[in-house]
Amino acid sequence: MQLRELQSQFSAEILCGENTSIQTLVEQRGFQAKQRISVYRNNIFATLTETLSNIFPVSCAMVGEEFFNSMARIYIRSHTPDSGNLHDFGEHLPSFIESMPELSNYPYLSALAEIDWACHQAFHSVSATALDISSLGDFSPDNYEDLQFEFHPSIHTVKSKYPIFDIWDFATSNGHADTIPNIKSEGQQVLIHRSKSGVKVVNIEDELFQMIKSLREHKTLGATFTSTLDLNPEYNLKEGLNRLFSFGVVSTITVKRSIVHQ
Amino acid sequence: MVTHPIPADSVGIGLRGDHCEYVAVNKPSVDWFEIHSENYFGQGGAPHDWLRQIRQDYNLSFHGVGLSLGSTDDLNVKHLERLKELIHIYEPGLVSEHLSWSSIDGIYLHDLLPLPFTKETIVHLASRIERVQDMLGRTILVENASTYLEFSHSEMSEWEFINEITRLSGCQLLLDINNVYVNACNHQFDPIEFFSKISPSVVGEIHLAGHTVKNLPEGTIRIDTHDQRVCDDVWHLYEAVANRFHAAPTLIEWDKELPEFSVLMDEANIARSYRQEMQSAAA
Ligand SMILES: [Fe+2]
Repeated sequence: MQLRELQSQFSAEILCGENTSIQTLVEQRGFQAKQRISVYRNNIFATLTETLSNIFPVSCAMVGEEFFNSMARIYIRSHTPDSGNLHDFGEHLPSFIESMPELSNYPYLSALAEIDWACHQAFHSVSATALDISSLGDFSPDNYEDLQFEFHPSIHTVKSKYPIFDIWDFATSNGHADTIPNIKSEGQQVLIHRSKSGVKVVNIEDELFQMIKSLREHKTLGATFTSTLDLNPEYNLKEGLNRLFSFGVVSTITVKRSIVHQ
Repeated sequence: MVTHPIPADSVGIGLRGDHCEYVAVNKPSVDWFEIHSENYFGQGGAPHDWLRQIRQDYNLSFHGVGLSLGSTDDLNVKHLERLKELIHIYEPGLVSEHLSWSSIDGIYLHDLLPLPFTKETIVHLASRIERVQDMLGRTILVENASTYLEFSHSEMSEWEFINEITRLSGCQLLLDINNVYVNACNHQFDPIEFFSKISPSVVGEIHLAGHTVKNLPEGTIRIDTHDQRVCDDVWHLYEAVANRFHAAPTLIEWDKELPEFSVLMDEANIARSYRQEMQSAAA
């Protein structure tokens, strides 16, 4: 058998459990070919399952290891790794969870997994400088409307119709049963980012979520303020902006170059 | 940054994430460290902060597990380019990979999978290693893997296979003594004969690790788990070949069920004592 054919069949045998002709090529020596191949299958599934439970520790704790591992086995087969770096494995787990009818008991699990993935990404992301609010002083107030922000590469936001921050907080703080969040209460938004002291998950109000979303789309500060006030005319923009800088997630501020029409 | 090469008589330790802070802060007396290259494929954060600090005081070896040298897919150039960037940043003394495959049709199984010892495999692997060495602009080491099966269409022994590959590609061998022992038990050959067929001049590094004995009704299989101390039989083999491969530095590997760092220091000291015994016997 040619090497390429051998590798394709070996992979099918591992992932799909198919009885391929690879079995006829394995020296038995006291063991069945199947048993020898299953040593590899066990190693591979153990490595990939452990990778997922390491990257998604909070989701795993929420559903329990046994349930998580059986879910992982299905995920490994349906979303086989496509990178030689294990840290890239698991990107599609949140959407996979969303699509699994068996998980309807955990309607918030997909958002929880998204936060786990964002924490993992933030942990490994490139470092960047953090500006504080005084950096605005470098610009003339006449230009405030036209300012654009670049964010720390670790930043990620998650919005859920479930109280996702309370659920995260409960799952990560070994909370007591009497503090179990009521999943029927109002939806929440979280900001994930890495500061000097590590990866942080913070609860943010919907208006701030909207501000960050708009600024990350490179809308100007003026346009961002307008859309935020559309959401809630009472919102205190100055306080929101202060809070945003306090997280240390703004890394550059520039003035939008106005387009000259001819 | 420490720039001299990794000395022949030195003993390094495999460095895992959980020990990085301890090593960076306490600067234990260890000759050098080996890391898994892929653990640093991320762009920043704590892993790189610690490693930069550690690199100031120690030489490094970059040991890859994800390049899939034996695969018949196209060489993963993106993977190789990231490795090249990391080599440029950290200037490791040694760069190594495995004589195995882990991916096919773009699917990565993330294990060191067995190859048939055929002329076809040799030609394929040797040309891949040559390409990698050309792209990286340096000689690499390739490690003999533990295996749990043998292919009936193999045309030669493992040592003949290894010798052909190092001869054709000009790469060096990372000789894992535990892996030779595991294979000798699993496939019933004499490990001493194996070592006697490997030319000392191609061996650029030695690995020592612990493995797991799995007893099944049909017999015993030894699995390369890197989750415990080096077993007595492997220490005896190390002692027996220390003289033959005296030009290669030794590494203690431990990847799972990571113990206190002092246990790894202890293993490294045992290796060092075998080396010193050998030197005093030679004097
Ligand atoms: Fe090894």
